[in-house]
Amino acid sequence: MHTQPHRDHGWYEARLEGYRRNELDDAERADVASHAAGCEQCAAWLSSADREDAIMQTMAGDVIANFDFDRARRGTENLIAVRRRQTWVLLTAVAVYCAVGVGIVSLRSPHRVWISAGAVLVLMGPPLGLLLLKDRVAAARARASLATGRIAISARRFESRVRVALALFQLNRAVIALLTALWGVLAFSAASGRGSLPGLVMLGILAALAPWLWRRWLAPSAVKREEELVRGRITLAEYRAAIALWPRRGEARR
Amino acid sequence: MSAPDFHAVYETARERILALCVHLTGNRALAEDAFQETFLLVHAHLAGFRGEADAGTWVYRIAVRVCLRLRDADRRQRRLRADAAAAMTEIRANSSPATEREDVFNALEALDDDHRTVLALMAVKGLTGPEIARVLDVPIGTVHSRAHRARALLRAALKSTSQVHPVDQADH
Repeated sequence: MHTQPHRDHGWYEARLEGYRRNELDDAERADVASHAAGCEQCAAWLSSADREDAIMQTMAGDVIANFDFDRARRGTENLIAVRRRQTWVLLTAVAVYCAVGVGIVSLRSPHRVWISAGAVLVLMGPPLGLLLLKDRVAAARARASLATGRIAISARRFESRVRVALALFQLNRAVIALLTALWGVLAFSAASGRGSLPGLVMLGILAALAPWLWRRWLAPSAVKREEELVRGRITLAEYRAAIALWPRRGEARR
Repeated sequence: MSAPDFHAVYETARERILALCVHLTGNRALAEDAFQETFLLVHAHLAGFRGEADAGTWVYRIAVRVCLRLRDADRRQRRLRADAAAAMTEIRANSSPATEREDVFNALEALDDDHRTVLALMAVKGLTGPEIARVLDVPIGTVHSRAHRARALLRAALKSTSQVHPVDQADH
């Protein structure tokens, strides 16, 4: 069957890929071509390789045709800008935290307790601010990504980002409750000179209510809708309608 | 040597990179994520690109790494959720003829990373063998032999699929 008996079938097989990609020199190419013309196995290999490549290319073509490259590029640049801002916020927060901490440690005033209670409030600011910023940025990024295409991501990643945002949301509540209680105990101790059980109970209630109050008054409505979406209480279409955003091209059927 | 311009790199490579992401992940959503992640990394590291390799080769390498990482993460998630059936995404479902494409992508899914990667790069239009060799950092002969082995494995997988679903094949 082989037209070149001086070369075994394996030699030709190893060059079939190069042959179909036109990457052999002229002599080898002619040799492989004459072999393939007479070898059923190699001819079948070549035709099925072409078919496999064609299938893969058609699939990629479908995706490329429905992909907005310009929007994806703008999204990438926006995402990088968001990350830069976050870095600066983090650095600023760390600097403030360090400065206030050093100030408290070196304090020699008789009103040290009151000043410390105030300082705890100040110290709460940066980490809380960061946490709040982080979940809001994550949620905003997810919203923007899916709905406006500012940051091009898929619906699947949108879901995972919303989950992360909601996890941070829960963490925020816990941290706020803890810090509120801490601040309350400090303030109460400073005011009365000693702790008391009714006071502590009252502070416990306040701490328990703090997350609810925060959520009731401060949580952005879009985050609430995202929570409902992830928990399956509303559909993606209802979520989009609720926050008045439009669907991204190619995602209508999801 | 000055770093290449992001826009220029993006405009030159964008369609091929998305095609590569589709071939490597077999999944539209994952491919779009991998595409974005690739260009995020390109943007972040472009200033430090020393020009030792061609910028295109460098971007392909990043894309391959990102795709394999996202695909592994996706597989782990799917195992955790035990919803492997849901992994077939709309690209396959909407394809025509659906069965043949689905079979090819199922067979690709079964290949190891080296073999799948070489086939994915081979299927990117306009990417030459020497370029693929530079992306994978192997000699051109290795690219061809790896591709040959990958196609043999792919064909064996397709053959076993057609034996498992002879009725489906006859229907199409």
